[in-house]
Amino acid sequence: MTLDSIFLSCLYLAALGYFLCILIPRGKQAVAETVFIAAFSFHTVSLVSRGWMAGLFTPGAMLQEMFFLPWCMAFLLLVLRLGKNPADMVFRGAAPLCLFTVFALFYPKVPAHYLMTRTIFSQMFFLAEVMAHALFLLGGWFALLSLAGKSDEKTCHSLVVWGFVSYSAAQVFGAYWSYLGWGNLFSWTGRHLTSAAIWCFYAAYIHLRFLTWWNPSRRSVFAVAGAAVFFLMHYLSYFSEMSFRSLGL
Amino acid sequence: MLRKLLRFCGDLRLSFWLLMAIFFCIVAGVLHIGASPDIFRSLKYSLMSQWLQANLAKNFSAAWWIPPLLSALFLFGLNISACAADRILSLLRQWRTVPAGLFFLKLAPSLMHVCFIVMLTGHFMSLCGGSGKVIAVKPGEAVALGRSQMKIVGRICEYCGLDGPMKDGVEQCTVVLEFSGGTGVQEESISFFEPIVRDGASIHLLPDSKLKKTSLPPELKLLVKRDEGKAFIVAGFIMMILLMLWYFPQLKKIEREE
Repeated sequence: MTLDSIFLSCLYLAALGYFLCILIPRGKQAVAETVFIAAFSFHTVSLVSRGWMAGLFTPGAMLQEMFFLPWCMAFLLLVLRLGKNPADMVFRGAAPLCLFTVFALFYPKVPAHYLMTRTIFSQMFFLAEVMAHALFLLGGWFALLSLAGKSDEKTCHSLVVWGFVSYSAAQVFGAYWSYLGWGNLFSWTGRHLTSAAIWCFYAAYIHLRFLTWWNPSRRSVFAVAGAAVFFLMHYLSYFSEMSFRSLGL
Repeated sequence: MLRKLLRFCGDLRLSFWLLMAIFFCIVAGVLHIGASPDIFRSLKYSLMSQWLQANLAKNFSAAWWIPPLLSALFLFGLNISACAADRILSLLRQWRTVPAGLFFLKLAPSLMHVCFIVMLTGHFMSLCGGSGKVIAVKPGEAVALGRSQMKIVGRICEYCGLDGPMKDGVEQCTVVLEFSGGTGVQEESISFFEPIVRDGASIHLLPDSKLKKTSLPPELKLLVKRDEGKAFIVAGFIMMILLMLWYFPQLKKIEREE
């Protein structure tokens, strides 16, 4: 079995496992947990084998957002579960996770050239940025659930706050990577400005707690809007590269 | 009177709406840069004031969002300065009566704001006082660099020998530079993502992932960059993140205890 086929088959198995977690009835939480952990293990193997796909270990391939984002979401759901949050609430987060894993299946699997990501700052940037994106997305999802009365606002707020800290760290690593390569800490390009826009949006969110008009449900609406901002301004650009042909390698 | 003015200028509702104004200006910028990237390409290595003079009137429909963005950033800088000053003045009165840990916890958000002001100042310095010059790598070419002279001696590129998608792609390139000036002649090498600093300028070999192994030598470019603001931006950002990493867990701990 080649590394390419290990990567692909494990990714499909992970997607299947996450999908099953949504279908398992609420009373069978132990089964849902077992399936979720199995799916997460397959996902981890898939990512590690992706890192070796080029013939030598390239962390940049492993940290590529399309494949790393669903892994981060699964990791965060596990952390939430370990934090004694109710299983049925945590596994409701499997719905967006499943969706983003399916998006990864439609994305071209060939890793990008590693020249651009050869410095450790680029790897630290992707690690922090993609983790922040996962936190923002899950924060938005749990905010939506809290509006429907199926989660508490505190979970959403904690996710978004940690997303903001991680995103801020990503900006430092990214700025230094950009400086090492292109001599600029900040460039007037779409990529840099998009990051700045998302950062400002969530900086505004952080301050809402101190404004009395913004009660928990209004803050939840704002967190949902934040996830939508991320999706429209950043993630949507990947859709132009997705195709049915990419379902294989 | 001063406190009243600080409270008015540092109002948190104003911070929120200024942040939203900055957000919407940037969104407009992303859309315009995406639609007409050629207009904004020259902004990368030129001063903002010079770029605005040359391009704002000519391409107003594409660049209109820059003056409101800079104005909102300036007002936001004033707003958070006033907010931080007001808060620090209030807290200083309590510093003998409140335990040190709690005092620092209360002070941390204001310190984060101070870090943000340092970063904004750094960006402002980069926009107004930075400069960049791109030079094609041609062995034998000499460039004046402050008090010394930089000469391009030679270059070497390594290519990926592995089969697969990266085959024949460039792995690393190194350019040998010779500096002559007050301290004699010195040779230094520069590679992708490994810049060097000379006479207050940083010199970068601009990376290009499209470079492939061909019979012709690859076209490489050097950037000579002066940026007075970068130390402020990096220092401000790092301090802010360290404060955040301490502040939010402490806050959570207190919430749990309550």
